[in-house]
Amino acid sequence: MQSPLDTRLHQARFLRLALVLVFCCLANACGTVTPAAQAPTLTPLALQLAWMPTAEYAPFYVAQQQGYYKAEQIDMTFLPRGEQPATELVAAGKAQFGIASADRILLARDAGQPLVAIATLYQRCPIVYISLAERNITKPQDLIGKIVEVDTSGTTGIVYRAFLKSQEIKPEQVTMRVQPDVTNDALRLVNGEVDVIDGFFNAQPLQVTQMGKQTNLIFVSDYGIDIYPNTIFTTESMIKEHPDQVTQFLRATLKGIDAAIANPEAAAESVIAVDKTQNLGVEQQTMQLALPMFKPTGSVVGMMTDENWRLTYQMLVDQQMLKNPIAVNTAYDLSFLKVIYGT
Amino acid sequence: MGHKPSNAAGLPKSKLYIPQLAPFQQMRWRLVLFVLLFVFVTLGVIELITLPRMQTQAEEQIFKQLDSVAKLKQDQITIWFNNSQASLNLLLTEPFIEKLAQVLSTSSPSSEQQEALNKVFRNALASAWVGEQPLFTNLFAYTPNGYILLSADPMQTGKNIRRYAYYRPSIENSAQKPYYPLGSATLSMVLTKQVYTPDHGVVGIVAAQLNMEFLSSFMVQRSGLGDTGETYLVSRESNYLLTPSRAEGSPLTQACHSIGVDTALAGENGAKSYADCHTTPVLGVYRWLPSLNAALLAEISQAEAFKEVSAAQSMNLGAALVIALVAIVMGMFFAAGFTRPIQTLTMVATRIAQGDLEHRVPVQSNDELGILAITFNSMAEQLKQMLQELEQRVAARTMDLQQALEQREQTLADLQASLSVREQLSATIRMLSSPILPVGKHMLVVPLIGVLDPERAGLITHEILHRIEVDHPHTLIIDVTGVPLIDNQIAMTLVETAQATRLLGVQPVLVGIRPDIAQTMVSLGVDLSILDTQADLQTAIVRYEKV
Repeated sequence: MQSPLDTRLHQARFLRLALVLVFCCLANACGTVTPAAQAPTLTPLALQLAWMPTAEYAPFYVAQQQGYYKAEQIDMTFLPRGEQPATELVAAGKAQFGIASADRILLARDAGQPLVAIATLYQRCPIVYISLAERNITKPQDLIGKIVEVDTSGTTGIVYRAFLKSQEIKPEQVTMRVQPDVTNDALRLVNGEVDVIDGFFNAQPLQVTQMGKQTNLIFVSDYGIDIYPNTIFTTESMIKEHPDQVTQFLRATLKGIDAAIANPEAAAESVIAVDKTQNLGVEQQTMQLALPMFKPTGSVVGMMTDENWRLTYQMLVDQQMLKNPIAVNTAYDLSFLKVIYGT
Repeated sequence: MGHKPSNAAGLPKSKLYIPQLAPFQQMRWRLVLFVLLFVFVTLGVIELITLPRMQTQAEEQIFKQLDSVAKLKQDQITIWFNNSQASLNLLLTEPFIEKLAQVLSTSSPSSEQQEALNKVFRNALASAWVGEQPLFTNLFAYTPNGYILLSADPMQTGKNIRRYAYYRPSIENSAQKPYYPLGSATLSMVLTKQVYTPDHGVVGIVAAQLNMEFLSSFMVQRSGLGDTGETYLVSRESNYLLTPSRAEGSPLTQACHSIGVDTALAGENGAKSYADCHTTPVLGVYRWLPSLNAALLAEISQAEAFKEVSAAQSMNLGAALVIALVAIVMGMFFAAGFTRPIQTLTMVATRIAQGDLEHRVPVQSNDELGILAITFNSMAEQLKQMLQELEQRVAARTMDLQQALEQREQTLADLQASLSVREQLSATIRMLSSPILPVGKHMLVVPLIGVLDPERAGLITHEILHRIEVDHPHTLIIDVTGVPLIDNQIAMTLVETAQATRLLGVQPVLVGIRPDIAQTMVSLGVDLSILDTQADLQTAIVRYEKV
């Protein structure tokens, strides 16, 4: 039985303890409030994608998930593919950066949109002409007399025309069919509706293989046609007014490409993390095949060459797609790459 | 008082205090501890020296092995490389070079010309074999623009290879590197040689597509490397593996980083223990191969490498522990050999201290302890004899004393008897010396004879007073003629007696005082006024007869 004095003592002790605890909690709460208030704000930037989440964009997802953008004080958002091309959306100010092929950049500039490419994802052109192996269509000349389905809406159309020209094949020698829809081309090939389809060597052929058929591929890049299919571009105003943000964004992105190459399997998983409807196995294969394009032997990631741009420009000129002549070197800017690589 | 317990000797048992020893005080455990410490320190030092040495020796051995394997592989690769280069050079001899140059410099060569040269390429391809494998998978030639004009494999003719990794080095005449061609998951490497004419300069380039199977077959060969040992190549390009690794789940196209890989790719050769690309601890030898732009690694897992030496170390340690245990047990036995005799000795000593002198220590060993036992026993024996002797002497003395006592007692009895006789005599004398004689009708005469001690004086007084009561005299005559000495005391007694007599109405008279006594009494100042003194008895009687 406690004496009144003992009870008092216990009460006092308990009260002291309670006070200390309350004080600690308050201090803690105060502590957590202040750092947030003092944290530097992240710059919100947006990148307009031109396709659904795929291994091609794995570097961005890896960079996001590894916190590379945050480390560069950027709060990065990836805008999914929209109705309009990425060039239109970026020019309209919906995003600061976008993905588009080199020819699209040139055409956009021709249309008065002040877009500039600062780097590229794929340094090689992955466009191939795909046919079933048993057809033995292995060389450009083998296209003559065949039904070829071409997506004439974009780069592939320009490439097709340039390809035929470079191989001295007259357009009428080949039965060209315009691609009706983008999803079932592999199916049409396997069905025999068409003899040849165009596409990326790390995309459609995998679909055909999944359907149980082997393919023959004719690489356009084997025949001197090499357009950058997915340059990273921004606006002239961004370059003028926020060059530091451009550099920071590019640095984080290049880091993402390097990380994706270092661990392609993890990169494929990062794509699945963004879009669970994608197939991990397919993304892994796509990623594997994309490795020599992300980083060809002897090059560094993101790099572009003047020669490639020049040849691309020449193709557009030959096909009379430009209204006015353009100074090619205004369409791309290697200075940011140089700053990051210290060259 | 209670009876104290006594022992055989008849001496009282003393309470013997023997302190209890704590374990760390006990000699036996101290000895064991000493042995323990000594053994452990010695063995510890030995182990500290030998175990690391065993480790480093094993390590050195493994590194030597790995180094020789790495060197072997490097040599294989170099030989293969040089062989390929030599074969290519061999191909480009006159008059073939002339024909080649001719066709290459033509803007549009005829198909026959082309086919003829293609055939040469095909023959060359067929003849350049090493063992079961062809050295090259294709031989072809392209213009400085990158356009393949001639090729053993007709599939390649017509392609433009400007964008290929080998194009630039072939134009610049710099070193070639392995590369991944577009659409292929397998590594490729091309050796190129410029076709040069004095008139036109470089008219074209001949290229030999190397058969990379050789590389894999060199590196995958694992004999002598145990279960986990392997050699593999890592390219500087993205740190990809050029040849497969044994490890589970190591795709070729995945960056491989480790101290060995990164150091070698930086251009440094060496041997170290580190964690490999899969974080497994390995012993590795690494070399930089500039011709392949790759690092060569020879590794073996540390677990496997040190398995034998670990076993040996364990055995070593085990043996040491066994020795330690044996030493401890032996130490304990040895210690017991000391402490048990000592304990026995202690026990016997205790018994002896308690008085039991018959106990002896068993002599169990032929050493100092044995001597101690013997000495102790003789001491006990001595003690026993001494005690016996003592007892005997005591007994004798006691008897003597007893006799003397008896004598004394006899003497005492005699004395006692003579004393009682004396007392009797004294009483008689007393009685005789102090009669109280009635004279006449009313007189008592007390002739005192002898020494008057206070007791006698008292008795006399008492007797006198009693007689007065009985006889009712008028006078009491005390005759001290026979008293040799009258001191103060006696004088006082006389006076007191006289006073008492007077009180009873009797006239005390003192007679017979001799001249010397009269002198003494005067000098003493004795007041005898109360007494009537007369010269002698006759006088006194005559005087008081008539009263």
